[in-house]
Amino acid sequence: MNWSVLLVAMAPEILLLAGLVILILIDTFMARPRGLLAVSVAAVIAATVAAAALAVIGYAAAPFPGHFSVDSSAYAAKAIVLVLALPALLLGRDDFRGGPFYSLLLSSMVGTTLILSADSFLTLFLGLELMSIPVYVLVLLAMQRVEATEAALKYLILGGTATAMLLMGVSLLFGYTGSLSLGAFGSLLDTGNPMAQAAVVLILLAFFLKAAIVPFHTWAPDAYEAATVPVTGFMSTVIKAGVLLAAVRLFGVNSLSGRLVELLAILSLASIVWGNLAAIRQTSFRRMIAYSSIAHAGYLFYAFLGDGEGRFEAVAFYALVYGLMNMLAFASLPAAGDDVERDRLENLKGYFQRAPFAALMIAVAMFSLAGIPPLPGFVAKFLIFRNVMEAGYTLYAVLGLVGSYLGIYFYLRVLQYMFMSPAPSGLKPQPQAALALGAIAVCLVPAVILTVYPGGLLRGL
Amino acid sequence: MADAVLLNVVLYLPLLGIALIVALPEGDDERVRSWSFGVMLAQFVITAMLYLRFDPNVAGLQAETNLPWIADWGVSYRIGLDGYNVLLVLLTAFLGPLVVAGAFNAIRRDVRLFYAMVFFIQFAMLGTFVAQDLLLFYIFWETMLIPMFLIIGIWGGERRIYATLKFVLYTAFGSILMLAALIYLVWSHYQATGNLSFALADLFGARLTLAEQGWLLAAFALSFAIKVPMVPFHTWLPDAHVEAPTTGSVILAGVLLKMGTYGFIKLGFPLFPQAAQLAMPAVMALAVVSIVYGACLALVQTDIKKIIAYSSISHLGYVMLGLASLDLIGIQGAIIQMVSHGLTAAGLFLMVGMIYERCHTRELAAYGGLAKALPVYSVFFMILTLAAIGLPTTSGFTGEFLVLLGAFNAAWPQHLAGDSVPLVWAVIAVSGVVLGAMYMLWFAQRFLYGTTRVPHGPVADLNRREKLILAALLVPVFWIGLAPDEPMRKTEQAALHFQRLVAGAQQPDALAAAPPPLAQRRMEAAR
Amino acid sequence: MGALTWIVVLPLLGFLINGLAGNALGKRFVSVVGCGLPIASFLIAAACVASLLAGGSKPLIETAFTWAVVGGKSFEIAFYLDRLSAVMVLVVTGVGSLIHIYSTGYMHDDESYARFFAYLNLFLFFMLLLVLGRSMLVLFVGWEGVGLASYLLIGFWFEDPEKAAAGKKAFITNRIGDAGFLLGMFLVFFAVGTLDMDRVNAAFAAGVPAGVSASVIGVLLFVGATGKSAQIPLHVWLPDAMAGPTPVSALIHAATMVTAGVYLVARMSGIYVHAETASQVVATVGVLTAFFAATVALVQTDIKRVLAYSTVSQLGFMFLAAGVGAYGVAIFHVVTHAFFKACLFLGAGSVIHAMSGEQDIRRMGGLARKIPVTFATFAVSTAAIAGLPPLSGFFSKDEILWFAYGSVTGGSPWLLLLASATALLTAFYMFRLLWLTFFGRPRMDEEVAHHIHESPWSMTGVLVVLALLAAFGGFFSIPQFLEPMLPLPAIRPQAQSFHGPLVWIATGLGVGGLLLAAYFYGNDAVRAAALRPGFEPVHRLLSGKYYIDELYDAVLGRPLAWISEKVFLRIGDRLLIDGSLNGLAALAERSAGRLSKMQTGNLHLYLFLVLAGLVGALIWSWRNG
Repeated sequence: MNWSVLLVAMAPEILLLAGLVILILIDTFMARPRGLLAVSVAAVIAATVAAAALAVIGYAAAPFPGHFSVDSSAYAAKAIVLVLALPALLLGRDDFRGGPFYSLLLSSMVGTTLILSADSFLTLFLGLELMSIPVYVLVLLAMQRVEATEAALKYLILGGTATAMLLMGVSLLFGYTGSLSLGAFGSLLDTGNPMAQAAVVLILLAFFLKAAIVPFHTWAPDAYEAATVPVTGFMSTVIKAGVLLAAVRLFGVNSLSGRLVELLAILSLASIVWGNLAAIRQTSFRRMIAYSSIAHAGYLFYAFLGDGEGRFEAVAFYALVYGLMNMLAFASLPAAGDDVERDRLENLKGYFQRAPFAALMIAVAMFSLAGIPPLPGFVAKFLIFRNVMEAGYTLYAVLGLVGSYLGIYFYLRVLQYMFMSPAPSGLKPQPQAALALGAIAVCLVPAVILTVYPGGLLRGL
Repeated sequence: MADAVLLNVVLYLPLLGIALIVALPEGDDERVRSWSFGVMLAQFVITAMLYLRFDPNVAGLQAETNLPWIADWGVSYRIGLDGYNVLLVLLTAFLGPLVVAGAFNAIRRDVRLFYAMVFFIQFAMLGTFVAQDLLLFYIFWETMLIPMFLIIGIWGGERRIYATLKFVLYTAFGSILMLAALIYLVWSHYQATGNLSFALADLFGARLTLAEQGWLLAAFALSFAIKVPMVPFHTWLPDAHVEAPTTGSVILAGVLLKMGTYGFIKLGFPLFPQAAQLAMPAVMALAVVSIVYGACLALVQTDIKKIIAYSSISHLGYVMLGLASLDLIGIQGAIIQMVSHGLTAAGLFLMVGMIYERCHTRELAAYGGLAKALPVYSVFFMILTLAAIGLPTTSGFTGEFLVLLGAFNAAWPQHLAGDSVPLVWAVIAVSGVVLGAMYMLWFAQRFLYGTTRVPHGPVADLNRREKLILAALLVPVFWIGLAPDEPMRKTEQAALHFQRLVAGAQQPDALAAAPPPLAQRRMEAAR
Repeated sequence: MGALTWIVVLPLLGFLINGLAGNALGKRFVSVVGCGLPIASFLIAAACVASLLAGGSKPLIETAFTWAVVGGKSFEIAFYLDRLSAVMVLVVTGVGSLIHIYSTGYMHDDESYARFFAYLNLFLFFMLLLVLGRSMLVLFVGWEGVGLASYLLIGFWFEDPEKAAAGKKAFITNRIGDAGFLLGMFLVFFAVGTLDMDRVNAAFAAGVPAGVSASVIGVLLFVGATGKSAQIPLHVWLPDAMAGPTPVSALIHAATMVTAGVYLVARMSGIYVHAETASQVVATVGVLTAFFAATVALVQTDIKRVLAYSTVSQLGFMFLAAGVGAYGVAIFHVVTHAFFKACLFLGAGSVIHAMSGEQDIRRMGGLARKIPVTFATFAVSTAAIAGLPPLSGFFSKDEILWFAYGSVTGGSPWLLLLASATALLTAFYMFRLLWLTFFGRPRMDEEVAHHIHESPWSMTGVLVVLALLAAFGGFFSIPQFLEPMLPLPAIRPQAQSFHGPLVWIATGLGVGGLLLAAYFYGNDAVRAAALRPGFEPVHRLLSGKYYIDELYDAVLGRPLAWISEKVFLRIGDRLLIDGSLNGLAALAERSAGRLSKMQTGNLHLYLFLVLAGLVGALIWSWRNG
């Protein structure tokens, strides 16, 4: 085994692990742990830079042939999820004094980066679990409210079923092909064989569940609401992006056909409509975001209807933009003391009067999530539906767009609260915490760049 | 080249304006106002220069900028002036300073945000006009929603939330379908020619089956018809106008509504000529229905703003009629009518705003005999009213006259050929002239004449600022009324181009060679 | 700028000066500008006409500028002076100037003096555009412009809602006519490709162009004429228009604007000679209007309304002449009518002035001695309109009757019959007016009687001039003057011998009317009063003007409002469109509620959903096909 190759190829993972180790050391040996944030941020940034750099130079290698390989798109994917983790980290401190948060987050990140270069279902499974389990804990750790425990439990159980489905599918696949490589999955896509079909469907559904596609979405609203801002942000952006990008890797460049297309289209469409509609009536900001993320999962899986070539580009761009905007919104939320208080939509009334900048940021995020130009959310959505249309599924594309139309209303409602409603009495303007501003910057700068010149990144992907 | 730079300057000045007023200290509203006015004025001056340098004899684009933007998808940053947009760009830039000046007293809350939004929408509107790339056009087109949503929603009247949501959801629905259609258009063009491009110039050559054209045209037309608005897609307009602050109404009536008609003439019809030809009877019918329907509804309104709102529906019906006639005179008339309506409606809304600032009511019944109480105001109001109903020597006449002449010119031969339906529409449209006089004079009579009733009166007559605004507005009104030759020369090439593309297109038999629908092709490829 | 342009522009200058700075300049200055410029343009006009005649009546053409060019077809703003427009321009500027002068006296104490003269000049400007325009476009600009001026002047005292409403009514009724005019103009443009009227006439002289029918054009243009010249069915606005100041009634609603329709028909004679049906329509509508209006005039008690209906009636005469192809005669009557009707209105104005605002002839009487000049001029004009020889009205009316009967193009006995009856009625109601106003026992109250006084020279002088014109205006024979361009129609053979007798008949009608009026309204109208009970219903019908206003309101006005309000607004906008949209929104809201309710937090439900999804997906994927 060539160690130098290993070191370079797995640089992001290694850097994250290093950070993780340091965190644990600090936690265990220092009486009053300090610098946790700094360490974890440094680790993530380093990993991001490494991934981005490798992606740009187009480095490709297979340190563990058949199990783990990297190429520029894999690195790009990693860079994306890593960037999205940054604001979550920055936001975390106010809610989690102490170590576990950072270490858990980092370990989850290791899992995420792992699945993005998995070549075999073993690696994939390993990564998925490594990604998910810390999050169960994180939800639980957010013990600011009683529901947290319950929500975490539900999340755990449903996550378990996802794992079960995945394993079941993989075993069927192994039985049929005698191989565990992701490539085998691609070869099964258009065999009429029921067993193969079952394998494919089970694996697909496992991903659906992780990404919260109707009807496997039910864990999301509860979990999102129960967890605190940074965790919700993490789940709704990093995890989602990771799962989807992994799915892209799983499906490779094979274009879907037959039943699978219908399954994918119908369930995605269902989640678009369901999510966008259910979000209208929510009174909790995070719950609303949960439904919106269900809808966005629908858009993301829509991308799989498109041709293999465009798929990665579309999903990566969308996941990045969507994540940035979600994080931007979370980072700009009023930093009220009580978490429940802070989560109430009502609380945003007259927000522009109290904190103009933050309000404008949320506005940008909302318009972007609604997919209204010139914000990057539009280009992302355009990219996906273009692919679907190009693949000849005109009807699905139109339906999807109409579904996305349903979403506009509840995003606008947030703006209505912030700009057009008088502030509830007793709320004073409070400045954003420095860290929050940092997080905002992390989201805003790339967003602006993507608005002015999306072409640049798209050529890169 | 120099012109290209100037055009970009014009387009981005509003953003500079935003930067400036954001840089200003909180609460220094006076400076915000004066600076905004300055920027707008500069923009108008530069635009005027561009207009003067615009060469009427050149058919294609002028002052063109063409840079790759999203190169992978053939999307380019391509803007330029042509006969289609030159007058509308000038109109937009001309109204800019007036809009800003008109809001000096009216807007007291969140002044900086307000002017920022005015600049933002100015930017979006200009962009929509000058964009020569389909995706760029769509982006600017949709961008307009954001500032308008806020302008109506923040500074509007009691039911502003309802009005602004109605406005956004109405228009957004149209746009969504347009988005689907434009993607389909571009990719089927790509499949057919192997040339992936969003440039309008290329897409005009797209060869589609009649069925495809029909669907795509329907999608585009819906979103344009909502913006115009044409009956029966118009019900957002009265609410939006009534609830919007004066500035909002002025921008809406002055420029925003032109987006719909502009969309039709620039994209809707030329992109899908064969389908457009077949659709023309329906378009003409809707146009005339809008003329009559809007006029009738204006006749029974009790809210001043609603009267003007419905009159807008009627007046834009003339534009659509002119376009649908496919007669050169009619097309030219339609373009002039767009500008004319932009001027008169904007002026009337400004004047309603002025009286509202004084009397705090829009109930027509509350007013009377203003001619005695506010003589200067009344003179301006009367002139604008007469211009609105197309009295000769005003811009309104030029537009209406040419449109009707064109419509008739196109309809009579068909009548001779045995199809009298267009003739009937044309004749009804002419009768719209009478209805127009009816509601506007009824309005003026209640408003200006009779025994004097001034709510919260007595109030002061127009001040110098207001007089200047209105006087400035009247200059082009009479210019276009008395000597439309010069502006019409600038638009003639575009009118010819439109006519050639739409009227000149062969009907399906010549399309036999057209490729099968995109979806179908893809399916075959899949097998 | 050429002379013709100056003729048109000078009044415009007057409008701008008085309109913008009038109040600052003071009455004297306003009067100088307001009257001076019209007089100036009258003089220029006279000079132009002189040069026209000197130049062997070759039309003078002056192109001011190009309005627009579309597809190679250019619309030019050009002025055109031939014998026809020469007559009109002289009348307009001449009578116009006189009435301006008169107004300096009549309006002297009005606070909006400057505004009045501004409007008056504005009217003159548009009227001159109308008569001098070469293209139908320019004519139409003038056409609508005079409508505007009359709108503004009728509603001059706008504080009174009645008057403002009258102005609106006039404008809208005219607009209806204009719609017809527009269509006619479009058809001409389609046929000939130009709107220059000399070219159009020339083109039609060569035969009716393909694809159009002269009669359709003729009728459409005539619709416009009925609006402007208050012919049935669009006559309703003119009587109400008397709400305006009296000089306005004289200038606009008697002498000039209302005759524009006749001018149009004469100007477009090139088309009408090919349009038999249209000509018949014109003649018929003309004679019917003449008769109908005359009957209404019989019972009016407002001095101005009597004159208004007589104007409608006389306009009917003119159209009758035009309808039978005697365009020159129609113009002849336009001119004479301009003289005596202007004189009558101004006289009425002088009377009202003397009676300190009183207009009801039932409260007048015995004014002859108190205001002799007014009386004398009024009497002369009355005789003229009644058609007593040798006054101007006699000549023109006689010729109209003659051609109504004799013309080969549409002349017929029944036209003559109705026309003669009308002539008789005219004489009768005019002398009735004269008697009730000037003779008999004064019926006004002391207060008013005490104030009665003759008007200032600025008014009486004008009256005298006009009276002279009304008396001798008949001697310059317009028809002969216009013969070169508007040839008179030939006479039906069987009518040849009839001209001699007709002269006597015409005279007889005039005298007859005079005697009847004298008989009934002599010594304080006792006989008329005695007659009254027998004719009660007729009288009510007539004084109700045949209830045409009410009819229009019931058939057009109210239904329009009703449909707009109940159908379009309530059902269309609110119920159908907004109703369905709000319905959709509500549906979304409801389903949103349902969906979020499914999120009960119950784990079993969640698991069930997952399993259901799983099984469903598997089965779906196994479905073969």
